[in-house]
Amino acid sequence: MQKTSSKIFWLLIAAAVLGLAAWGEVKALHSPAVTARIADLELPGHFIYRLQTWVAALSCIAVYSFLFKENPFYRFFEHALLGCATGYSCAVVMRQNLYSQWLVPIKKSIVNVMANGYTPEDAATIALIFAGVIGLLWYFQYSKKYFWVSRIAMCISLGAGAGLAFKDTFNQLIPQITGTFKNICPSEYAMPGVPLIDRFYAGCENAIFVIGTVSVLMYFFFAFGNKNAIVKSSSKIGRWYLMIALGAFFGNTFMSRLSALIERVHFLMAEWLLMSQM
Amino acid sequence: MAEENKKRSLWDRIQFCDPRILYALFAVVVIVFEMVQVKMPVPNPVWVGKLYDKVESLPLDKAVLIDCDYGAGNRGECEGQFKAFIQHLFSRNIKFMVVTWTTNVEGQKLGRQVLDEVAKKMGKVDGEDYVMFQAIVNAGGVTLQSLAKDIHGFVVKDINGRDLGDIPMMKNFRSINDVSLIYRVAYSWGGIPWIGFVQSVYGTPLAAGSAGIESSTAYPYLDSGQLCGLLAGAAGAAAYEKRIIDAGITEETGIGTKTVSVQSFATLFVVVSILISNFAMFMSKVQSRRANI
Repeated sequence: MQKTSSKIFWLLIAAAVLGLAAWGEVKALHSPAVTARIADLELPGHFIYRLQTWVAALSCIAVYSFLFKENPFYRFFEHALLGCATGYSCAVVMRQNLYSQWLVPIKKSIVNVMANGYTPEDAATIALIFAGVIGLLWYFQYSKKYFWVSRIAMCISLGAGAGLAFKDTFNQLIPQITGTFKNICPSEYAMPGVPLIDRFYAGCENAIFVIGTVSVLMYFFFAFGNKNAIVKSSSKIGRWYLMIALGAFFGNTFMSRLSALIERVHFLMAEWLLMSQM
Repeated sequence: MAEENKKRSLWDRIQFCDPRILYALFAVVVIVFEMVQVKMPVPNPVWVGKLYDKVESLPLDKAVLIDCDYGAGNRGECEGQFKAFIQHLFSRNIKFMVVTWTTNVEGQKLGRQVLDEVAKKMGKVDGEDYVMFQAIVNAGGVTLQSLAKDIHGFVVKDINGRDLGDIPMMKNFRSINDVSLIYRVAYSWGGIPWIGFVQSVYGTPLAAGSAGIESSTAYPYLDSGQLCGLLAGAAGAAAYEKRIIDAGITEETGIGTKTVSVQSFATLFVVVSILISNFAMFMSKVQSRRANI
């Protein structure tokens, strides 16, 4: 009995949404906002715009239906999304990278060399062939017998990656370390023209920053036991700082997810159902 | 089951309520405030103001390099940031180049849609006022180093398939020395190592627009001066939109401002739900203690 009434309830909800969508479709025929949107997107016509809006809206509802329970409608769109995303990525990589940025320049340079003779620029471009060959070595991972060949590509990638990571880390972290050297008692010489009260506030801010940095570092300092009173108390403060930081992270996470939901609701309400401002 | 429910007090039922009821209530709150559109005060973070002032002070003979790397999942936050920023650049007649990556092809598609729409409204021409490159292979530092040294040598064509040498705007912009600001708009501001390979090496100022979830990690870099501005989440987008509206660049309320108003009420709903559930937990404990006495 309960199951039947629940089914009826959800059928009524679906019917109401479809009714609203049909009403939205009628409104869309004469809506200046829709006409302007079609012009903005440079679409060939009303039908194409509404068709893509319907596909997007149905995909969106299908994905959110997972919140109710796992269902085939959701599964279908999940697989469709994965397939479309993979296909689209492949097309972009083939068209915009392999073809435009690898094959075409090599071909051009070969033609140039044959017509006008050798130049260092053309030679450098033709050398891209070797990069392609090295890249292809990765495919030997599919062979048990020649797996070792793929290690050549792996070694080059790892070596270059490690060197670059080293550079990146240093370039990022050195200014970070020097950025922690803060004046906790700024004098008029350090902040010329700044009133005493503002310098006091700046000093307090800097003190909070310095205490936070030192205490959090102490929290992660495992070289000796935390029986020492100074280490123990400062690592406790560090723990509080971390808790506050994690709270801020969580708050920001919630806000981000919420923004994603609001954007989708805005799309459904404004573009699909035409019930709010576009 | 029904009997078990009858035995449960109101406080227990609140605590163990079906999460789907909460989802439905949450959806209702978001839908209602999406339709009503209550105007909420827009925040004014310091780092948004700094980015705005930075753009105001940019020279006209150099270009801005935009790294457009957002996707459908964070469109709600990043699209507003991107749109408001390019509106500001267009209004100042600052030319810009847009870079996208093969690791996130959505960025190219979504970015181009916004770019074309804004350019059309503001009467700007592709190739003369702005250019979007074909997606670049994201190989981290190697890519950035090559791009910084020689844009024409590294990026062969723009999104429309034109050679960079044939694009009028690109004749004056050949390397990172011709770039006055790098602005990365993405879910994660640090996903591409601009700081390690470009900002720290060439000293080109770097600013970011990022999803709220990732913005917390940007603050140490702002403090150390490695980032010169930040638009954090929808609030960052709304603040930048407010600035360009106040400056008379546009009259249109952007998606950031709309999102912030709905976000405020949805957050209020969550806070109230947390308070009610905690109160219910407290009351059910009190009840069970009384029953034990």
